[in-house]
Amino acid sequence: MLLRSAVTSLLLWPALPFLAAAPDHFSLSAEKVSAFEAEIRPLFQSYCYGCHGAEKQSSGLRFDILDAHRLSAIDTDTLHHTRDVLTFEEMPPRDADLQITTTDRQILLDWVTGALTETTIQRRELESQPRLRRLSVREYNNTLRDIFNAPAEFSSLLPPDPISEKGFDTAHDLLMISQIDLRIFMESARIALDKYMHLGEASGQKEYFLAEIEDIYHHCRFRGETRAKQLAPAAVSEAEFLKMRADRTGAPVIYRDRNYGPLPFGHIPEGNTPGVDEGNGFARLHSQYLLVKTKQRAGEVVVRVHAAATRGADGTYPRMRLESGRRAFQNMKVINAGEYDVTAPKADPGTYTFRFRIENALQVVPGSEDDKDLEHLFFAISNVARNENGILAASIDGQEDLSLYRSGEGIPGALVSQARSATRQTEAALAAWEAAQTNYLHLDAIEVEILPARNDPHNPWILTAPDTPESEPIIAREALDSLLPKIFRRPVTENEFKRYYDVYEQQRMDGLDFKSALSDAFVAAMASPSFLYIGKPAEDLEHAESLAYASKLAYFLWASPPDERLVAIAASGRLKDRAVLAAEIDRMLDDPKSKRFSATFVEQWLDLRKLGEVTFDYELYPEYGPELAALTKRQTIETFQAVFHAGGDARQLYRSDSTLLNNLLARHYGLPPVEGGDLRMVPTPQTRQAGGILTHASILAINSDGKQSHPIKRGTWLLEKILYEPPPPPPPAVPDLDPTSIDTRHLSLKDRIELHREQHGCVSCHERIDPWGIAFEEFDATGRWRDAGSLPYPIDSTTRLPDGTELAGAAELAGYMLDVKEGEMMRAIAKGMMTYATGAELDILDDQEVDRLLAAFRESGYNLKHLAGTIAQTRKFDEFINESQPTAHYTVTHEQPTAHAH
Amino acid sequence: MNNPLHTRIDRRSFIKLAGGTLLLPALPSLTKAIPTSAKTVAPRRLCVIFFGNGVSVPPLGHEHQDWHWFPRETGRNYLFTKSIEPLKPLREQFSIISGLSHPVLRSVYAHNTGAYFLTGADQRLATGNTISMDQVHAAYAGVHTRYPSLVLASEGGIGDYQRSHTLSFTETGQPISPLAMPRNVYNELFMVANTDPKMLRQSFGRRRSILDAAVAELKTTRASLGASDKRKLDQYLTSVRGIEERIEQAEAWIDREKISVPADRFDLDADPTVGPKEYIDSMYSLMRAAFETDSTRTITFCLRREIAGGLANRFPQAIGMEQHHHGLSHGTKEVNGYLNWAKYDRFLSERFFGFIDQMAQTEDPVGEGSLLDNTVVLYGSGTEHTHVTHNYPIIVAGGKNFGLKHGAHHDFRRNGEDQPLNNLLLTLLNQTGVEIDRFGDSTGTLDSLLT
Repeated sequence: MLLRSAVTSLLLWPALPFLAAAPDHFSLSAEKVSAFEAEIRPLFQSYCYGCHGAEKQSSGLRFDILDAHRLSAIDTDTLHHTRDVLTFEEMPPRDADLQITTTDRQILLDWVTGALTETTIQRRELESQPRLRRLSVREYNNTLRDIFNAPAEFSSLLPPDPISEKGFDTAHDLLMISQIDLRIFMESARIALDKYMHLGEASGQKEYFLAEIEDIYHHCRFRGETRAKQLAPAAVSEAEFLKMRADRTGAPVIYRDRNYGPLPFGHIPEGNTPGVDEGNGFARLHSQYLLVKTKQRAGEVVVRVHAAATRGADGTYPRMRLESGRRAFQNMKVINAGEYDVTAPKADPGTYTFRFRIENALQVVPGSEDDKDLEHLFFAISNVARNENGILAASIDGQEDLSLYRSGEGIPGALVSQARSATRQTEAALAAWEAAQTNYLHLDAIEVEILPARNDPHNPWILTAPDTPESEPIIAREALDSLLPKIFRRPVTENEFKRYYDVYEQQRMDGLDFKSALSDAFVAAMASPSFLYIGKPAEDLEHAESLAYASKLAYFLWASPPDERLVAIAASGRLKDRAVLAAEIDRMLDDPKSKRFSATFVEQWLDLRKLGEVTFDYELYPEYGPELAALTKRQTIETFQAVFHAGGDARQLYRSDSTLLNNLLARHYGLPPVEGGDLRMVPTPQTRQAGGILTHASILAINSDGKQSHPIKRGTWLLEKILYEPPPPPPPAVPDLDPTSIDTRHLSLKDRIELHREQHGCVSCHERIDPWGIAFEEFDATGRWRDAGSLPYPIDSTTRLPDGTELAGAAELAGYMLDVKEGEMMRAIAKGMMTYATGAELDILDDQEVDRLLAAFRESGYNLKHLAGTIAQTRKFDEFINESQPTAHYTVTHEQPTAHAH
Repeated sequence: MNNPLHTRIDRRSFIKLAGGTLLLPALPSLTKAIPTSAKTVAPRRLCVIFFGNGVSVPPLGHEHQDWHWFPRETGRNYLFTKSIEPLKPLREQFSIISGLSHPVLRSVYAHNTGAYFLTGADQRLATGNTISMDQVHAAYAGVHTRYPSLVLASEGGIGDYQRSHTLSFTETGQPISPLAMPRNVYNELFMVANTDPKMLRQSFGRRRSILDAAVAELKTTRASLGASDKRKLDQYLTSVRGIEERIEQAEAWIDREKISVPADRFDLDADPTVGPKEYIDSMYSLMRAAFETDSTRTITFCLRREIAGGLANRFPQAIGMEQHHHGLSHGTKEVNGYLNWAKYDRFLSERFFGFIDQMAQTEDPVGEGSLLDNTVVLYGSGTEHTHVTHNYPIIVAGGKNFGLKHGAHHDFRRNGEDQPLNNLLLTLLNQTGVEIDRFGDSTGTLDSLLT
């Protein structure tokens, strides 16, 4: 018989009424209504009905049926748009017969602004500012990383979160919880507890492996694979390991008798590949595969590879990558554990250290085929340097080992022919590397140390094993006492403690073993609203508001839960002290965890995730591929981070005096060679990529169709992201403008677009969009500069912006942006970060707060770190803590900014 | 035929079409475990399959005019176009439909058609969506089965702003999170049957105690939370209740005779990024098995959402075509543009044929005739082609036992104007036993589809 359950009693509650997200209709004040009839309708009639009335509805809009007594939600959308086009003087059109007077424009603007203020107040009264937000999947992952003190993957079962209109995953109204989500939250917590919660002692004991790479046996199929598994190094004790290591010291270095040369540029396919005859489940010539025997599934792995380099005749060094995981026939299922430029000479090999979590490398779907028989950890050590003389070829080590068959034994014909083909490829490739005197990687030895999670002294989840029945409740209490506050990000009340202790006690009494019963209590905590929602003040807890704010603050500035210090300060009530708060914000922004925020923000703000969604034509772009794409994305993220964490000036993002580059990026951009694969800041005063991030390859590539430049996408992106003035969506039943679809191949893309938009009558919107994108015409779909004559039609990057400015190319546009659009660009970053931080779209009532924020931002010299700190102290971010305006050193001025502030 | 214990043994030989590529794994002998008492209520099932981006419709006189998804003729004597030719052997089991669309969506830029396909709501309204037709059906039909409904999609999660992954919405307009991977669908439906009852009972007890503790804090929450925050907590509470109800349902099933559905009958590791064909077939075979075991009577499957990117966008490339789906749908001016797109339409038709053929070949364990006779399958898209928001491509199959009549191509346009798609949704709801006279903006029913 089950105990009467609280859930059952909840079921007896009357269903709570679900309120609509917002009212469907608004009523305006009598004053606004009468002004509308007397003054405003006639103005709409004179200036707007011609195109947006009964006869014609350009952009699907009509003003003649606007009813000021009863505005619909759709009407308010229209009015917002109207306000924008009036403000930016885009409507009525410049070529309209009747030009609007300045006075009339102002009268219209004042009324529209007033009406929208009234409707927004009504909406907010019903809606109130949201305080709660479900943890996003990303934040959930970071949270469990901190709780379990392991940089592992905890959220792989959760479905991806919805992305908001502005591209952020923090939108409070989109982050819902469904039954499936809740069940997965529980399952994820259970899996994490199984991995990390252990009874006993954190012995610190590790598994050690040391192998000379020349002794490695590794072949991949059938008998070869069986043999490789048999011969894989097994773990040795620490003493043996140290002795083996000592024996090596001073002994002559023996390398495996193989040169690992570089790869060609471009995409290296992972699956079965023509010319290689196999996927990378079988070693390729630039790679060495090996296995070690271990059954560990959670813990830290440290790998030291002893390796050396032969410098190529072209002066380049090899770049060593370590991957680890498992092999899945034609593919490897691995993670990239890191990369180094290897420069140590053969006479004196270097030691290159990699660290990763075994649970990340061996992620398997529970119950799937991969889940079975995992008794080895797989490594691939590769030279991933790219080179004009690079080769992708099969390796004889990757094939079946025919020497394991007795003569006369029937070997499958396919294996024999594959082995022959691989031998031919290997010989040809080795000869080609040799002829070009490319760089080589040389492998000497590998050391592996695995610290299982159950032995890890830094694992907070190693609990004393109860030795008597009496000790069980004591240990359970201690565990809950120390770990529940970590889960709830705050002190825990007596009631709460009891609630979770009861779960343990009930299950233990029902006959469950101690560990499982205790684990249930923690699963319950990690499925509760206090854990899953940020910003929920605890009941019956002193300074609950401050503690809720501390969580919000930490999830904003760290994308992670608050640390003990911040919680302690909030719990003491001192967070309300402006100076204390400011100091904490400074501390948090200086903490490396703030990189979790900066990376996320820039990726979402600029829509960089789209890079994975564009399919590139590798025939047109043979040197481009997913690896280079990922590198360009890293360039943009780290560029933002470099400015952000140095407290630098946001305008720097749009300049190119220096650029973050490595050898591959420099080549892609056509810049003078840069040595090595690590990104470094290089002075680039003369670059054609003159617009800072605007001319980053990542940005130009996400706004392409994978084949051609796409001025419309580029223009739309620039308006949405950089200027925060999104153009309205196209009307229905009109295909996307496809700039390459008309057979006018002799015309420049710019001319084709103009022709096309005339045909479809799309001109009014596209005049606002396309000119911005045209300026980037000299960059191809992958963001590379293209010279005149490289295409069958002319490249024309001269453009006329909506304000009449004429300019040519990205460099001039970048100059114009900084000279004329600085205020808008800075406002866009401020609004973007505010939207990310608060999880709520900004509305007209936020205008004043945004103005103040922008003033403070400007006063700080557009210091991005300062901007983040100021946002955390706005009322929009948290109205309970930030009741008064911030003082201390985040001083905010109250002046109204001018339109083009400097 | 009327013997519920009878299973046909030679299904495979019957469907050796197209080189056997359409085969779904057969599931013999699932039916005998279903208690005969369930048969007292004749099942009227609903299944909806949606794909985004519309279909290829080359103009008349175009070199590839035969690849026009819609037949050029209406009535019973229509000719199959190449895009839907694979369905030919089952011609008497379905109707092809032209001339339907959602009126309010005709004037909106069509980028979120999946979310409104089964509702017809106005996407510009701040109140968001309304209840989807399948959930209306589930409220009636779901009381008979372990699962009120099954919501599936080719990608997990509810999708992004204005880019829905799911076809199904609750009565408050909240999107229902879909299951995406075959293994998850299998575990959801059939795992329980393979677990020891004692362990099962204990695990239910544990789960209940966990939920009790987790939800307890909401009984005392009286902090100054606004309406939107309360709504979130209500959402949480609804999820808890949902799980609780499922536990109760599952408990009721513990002591019944088990329907054992072995996992090896399905390709549960089918990876949509590598093998869309295997993936889609695997999902279809799970859907069929869900019906055959009478686990649910309502299923939606968002095979591919309306979006330029996303996982299912690459399906065409994963089966060796040059372009992704969005590229195909925007590339009709290129050489062979219409043809390439239509080949993908045909690929989808082949998959769909495999599904309804299996449904037709499977005896209904709780009703007369085949599964298909007692299941209406709605298959279609929310645009005709590239963002064109009228004349959705629609096929309605099955449901013969509750009055649907097939074999013709219907064009429901009146004076060149589409009728509301909700007229079809209302018709299907009525026929499946939901006695309502309006659904959303419906203006009537489509009686020519009925006997």
